Amino acid sequence: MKEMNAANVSEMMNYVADQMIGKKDLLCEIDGKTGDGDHGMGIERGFTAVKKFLAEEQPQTIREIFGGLGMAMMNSMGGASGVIFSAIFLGILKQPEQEKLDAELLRGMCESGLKRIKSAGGADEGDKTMIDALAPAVRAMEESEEREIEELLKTAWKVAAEGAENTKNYTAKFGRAKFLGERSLGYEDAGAVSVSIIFQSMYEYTRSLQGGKQ
Amino acid sequence: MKKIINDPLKVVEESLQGLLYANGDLYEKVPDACGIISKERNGKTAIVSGGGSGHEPMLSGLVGKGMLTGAAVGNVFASPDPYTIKETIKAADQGKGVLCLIWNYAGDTMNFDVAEDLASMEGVKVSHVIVNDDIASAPKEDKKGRRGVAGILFVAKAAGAAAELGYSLEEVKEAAERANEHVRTIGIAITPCSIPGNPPNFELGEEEYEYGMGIHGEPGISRESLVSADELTEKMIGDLKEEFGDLKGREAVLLVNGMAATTDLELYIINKKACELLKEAGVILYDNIVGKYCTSLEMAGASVSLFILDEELKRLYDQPACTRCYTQKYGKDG
Repeated sequence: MKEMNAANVSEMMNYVADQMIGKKDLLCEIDGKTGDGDHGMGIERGFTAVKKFLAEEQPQTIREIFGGLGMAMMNSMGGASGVIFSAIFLGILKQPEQEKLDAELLRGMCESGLKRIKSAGGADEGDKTMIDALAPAVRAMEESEEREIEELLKTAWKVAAEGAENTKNYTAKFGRAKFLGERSLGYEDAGAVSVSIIFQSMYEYTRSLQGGKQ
Repeated sequence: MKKIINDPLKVVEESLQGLLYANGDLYEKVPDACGIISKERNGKTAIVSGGGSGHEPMLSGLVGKGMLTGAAVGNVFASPDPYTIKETIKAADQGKGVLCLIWNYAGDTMNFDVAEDLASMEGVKVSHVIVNDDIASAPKEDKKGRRGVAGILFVAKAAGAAAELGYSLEEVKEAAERANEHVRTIGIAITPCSIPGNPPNFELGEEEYEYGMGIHGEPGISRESLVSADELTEKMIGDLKEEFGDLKGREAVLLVNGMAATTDLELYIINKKACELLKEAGVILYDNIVGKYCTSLEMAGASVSLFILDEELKRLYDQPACTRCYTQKYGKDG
């Protein structure tokens, strides 16, 4: 599939929201190893707001969908993750208006989002944050010439999952886990896991549109 | 862990409403946002703070005459979102600008950053000071990397007094920075806490304590076998003294702060030893505060803060203030 219309994008993000909300306990548990254990609760609040926005506002364009759900996340999650996770989707505001979502627009949104996240939080790869999943995923998307959306998302997911796994080997330099120093070794960063699940869920939805199996 | 709540997702909203019912004489709610502002607004530089819930009576307890004008209230242990902060800033502004006092955590600094941009776009003059008094969270050379904890009481006191005296936004900011430079805190924990709806976020053995524990359960410097109150206090005061160097003849305010589950009975034991040690070191105790100010849900533990005064800070400390956390009725000289 090379293009997705707004109705499908909206449905995709509703599916992503359901998946994320379902992972609340897992995310809290992972976060509890190195942080204060509330990442899953922020994610639940944020994606509940996403669902509410999609249902009540019925956004009609790609920009309205991602821009609006980004704002809904930013203004409901709080914590560091509200500003950070909403930025992925708010990256759409830096892209040209398009009627349909294609691989180029998806790449552009994630690229702009990553840039904003890096400048807002000051973290970089290797600091044991969600950037360790997002940055390699964005890089893989840039390097890939794939024009099929589901294939591009599959690549992003696989690379992000690997990036999240790699955070076990890093010492935290940001967020509350940084105060653990070496004691954060051996545990994944919960934010990185969330990034991976977001791409995975987007992939699963696009795959199901094709009638394929997971 | 057992808690007396209705719905884990509504804890903050419901608690804030209860707080407003009890303190209608002191506060108003920020329209459409989870924040409170003082009824005492008098055309001066405004001061706003904000942060996650779970530290009650802070930060809302610092709102009132002579301290904060407003507080943005986040979910448990999570920074308020930019909208909530921006609305609180706008509600607090009286045309002279707003100084934000921000505890140094990634979530708080990022959300305030966005909120300050939003507020200035709406015409409010806004600036901030980041509070970083917790000596356990980073070495001396990395003061900027340290967390903010109970010491914000003194930063809010100095900033609020400066505003009352008619200082400009820039001058109030200087006063807050000066107070932040002069306060240091160290804390310990003996039992964990849990976010409503979650299991405890760390474990501590029956005979253990964590030295340098953060107010969200962040691990501290070391985990050791529990010792007597006097030995704990010696260690804490020793590390605080180390931060300031020679304190002989200096005037200081000592704050012994309890986490929620620690009794006043225990806090005064810590305070007894802390006062004796400081006097031995030649410190002149200008004031001594003991109680629960900056808590960490149901965690048991305590922190000790030392606020070293100079002429300007003493002048500011002496100004009257009236909040739920801190009251100085007529001013120190009054």
